[in-house]
Amino acid sequence: MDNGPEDRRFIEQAASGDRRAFGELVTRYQRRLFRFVFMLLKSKDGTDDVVQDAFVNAWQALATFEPDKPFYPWLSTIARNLALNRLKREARQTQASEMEDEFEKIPDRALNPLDKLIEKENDRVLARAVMSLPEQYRTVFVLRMIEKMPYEKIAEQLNISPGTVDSRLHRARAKLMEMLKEHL
Amino acid sequence: MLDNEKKHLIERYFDSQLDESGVADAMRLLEQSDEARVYYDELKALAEQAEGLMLDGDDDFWRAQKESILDRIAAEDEKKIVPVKAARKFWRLRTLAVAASVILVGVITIYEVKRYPDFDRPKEDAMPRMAPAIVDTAITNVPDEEAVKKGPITPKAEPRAVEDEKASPPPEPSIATEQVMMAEMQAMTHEKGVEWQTPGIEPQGEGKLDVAGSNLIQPSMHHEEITLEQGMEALDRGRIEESTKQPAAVEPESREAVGIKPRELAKPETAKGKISDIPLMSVDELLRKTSKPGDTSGGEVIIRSGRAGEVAFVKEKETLRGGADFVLSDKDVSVVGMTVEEVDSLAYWSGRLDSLEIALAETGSPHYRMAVAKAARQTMAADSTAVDSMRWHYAEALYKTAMLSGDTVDIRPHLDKLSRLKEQSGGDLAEIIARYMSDLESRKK
Repeated sequence: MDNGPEDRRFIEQAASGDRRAFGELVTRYQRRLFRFVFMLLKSKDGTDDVVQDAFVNAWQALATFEPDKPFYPWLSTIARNLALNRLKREARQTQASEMEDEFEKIPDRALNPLDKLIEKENDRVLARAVMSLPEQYRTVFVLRMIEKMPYEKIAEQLNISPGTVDSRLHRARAKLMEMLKEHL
Repeated sequence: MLDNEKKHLIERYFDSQLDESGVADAMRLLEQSDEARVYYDELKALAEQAEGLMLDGDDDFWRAQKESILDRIAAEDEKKIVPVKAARKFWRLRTLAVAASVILVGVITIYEVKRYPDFDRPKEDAMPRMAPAIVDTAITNVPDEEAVKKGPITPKAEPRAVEDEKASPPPEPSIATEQVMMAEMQAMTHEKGVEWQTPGIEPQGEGKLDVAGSNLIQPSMHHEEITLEQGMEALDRGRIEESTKQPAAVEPESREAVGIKPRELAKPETAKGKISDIPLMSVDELLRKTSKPGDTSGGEVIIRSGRAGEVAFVKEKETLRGGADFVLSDKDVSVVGMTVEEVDSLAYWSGRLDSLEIALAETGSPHYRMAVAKAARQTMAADSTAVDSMRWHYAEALYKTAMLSGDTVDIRPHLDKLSRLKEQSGGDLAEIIARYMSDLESRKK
């Protein structure tokens, strides 16, 4: 997605230290970024932290950003790295075997904010289904289906092979198809 | 019912992950199978729904998040500013402290250098490889040859700086140090079975040096010694500091100070001949004859010491256009720990005409002979006398270093250079050089 003229103006103003202009960029992209991170982390608090950190990091690195390039992919890359690092930290605290093949149930604490954030019922169902996927499948699905990343990029990001991306995506879809059969 | 493999094929088709044959297979499947088409539609719906999944929520949540982000940004900016200010403040303080330290060190250094002009003199025992530099050859307190015969001379315990303070009036210089060193050199060469004879120079008087009465060297020509590193550093700057100016009065060195151990001085009997029989060629004499030593008070000094007495003789070629090659750049220099590049750089950076003094000393080991070369820079007219003088110096240096070189050192380059010098010289100097060559040839045999 290319930056519109307003985006570009806000980016240039923000890069020169205008926090108000940067606030406009926050307004424009915070929901989309939050959705993406929330799908990965399933935790509202964690998502809030990551999104804030991503914007703060972007602000600090804005001088290095080229205004001609699309802003959101750059921002989402920052957020993705933060979110995946957070997932790694959390994974180290959890037995990997527990996560391997067993689909998780959506934690109740994740449902409440989700219900508040998503008004459409179909979207809520989809979000719940995605968030019920094990992390490995959910991550691949979100990066592919929500962030539209190519297989190779996903593989590079997650340090896995493109074939593994393919198989994980296939399993995630199969599960989601089964869960969402009535809604698709 | 589509099997898992076909579903996977359709998914990869949907994601554009197939090659041409795979695409053909997928399209064929979609054409032939209703279930495949349904699955494809479901995939498409899932993708659209995922893509269209939007988080709405209430505005308060997003507004609060935005404010939080902006607050954090403001806080980060504040964090940036405060440390930067502090850092700048400390940076200034640090800079001031460093500057003050540098100034203090500089002042102390200048003071100490003035107080102890030869502070960097290498200690014999501590630095056996360094040749004891001859600060100047005008030494008055060295006994005459009779005194040398009598036995060792107790080295002075007082530092030279103290002696300097006591030096009033300046003593009359002499060349006795040269004499002693030449005696040592003779002893060394005799150890190697080589007759030491410096042709062409007649001993003064009745074959002896007029030590006490010698006024060959004026105090004004004394040179402060500097190390090679110091000299090179100064040369790299394109000049040598005026700090090399000579003091008005210099207390002569003890033999200990000039690097000749009493033990060696005490055994002239190891030489085949007596000291009184040694024909002495003094650099001081050469200087007296040709170098106008009185003009050297502001001269610059380059000292090079090394094993076996190889020296670098520095001369600006402009002055001696068409003259002898005064740069000693034979491979032999490596023997004494001096690279050809070092010699060349000395030659390159050197200024006008230089004088050369060679001091020889025994460090106690017959296998570890040392020599000191002191090149004193001075202004001199490039007349024929001066050129001959420098040729003589150079010939002398070649001769001495060849004589002192170990048996494994090839002295042919020395002979070649001497031959060239001889061709360029005339009269007495040519005769002297011929004798040098003859002497070396006999040694070679």
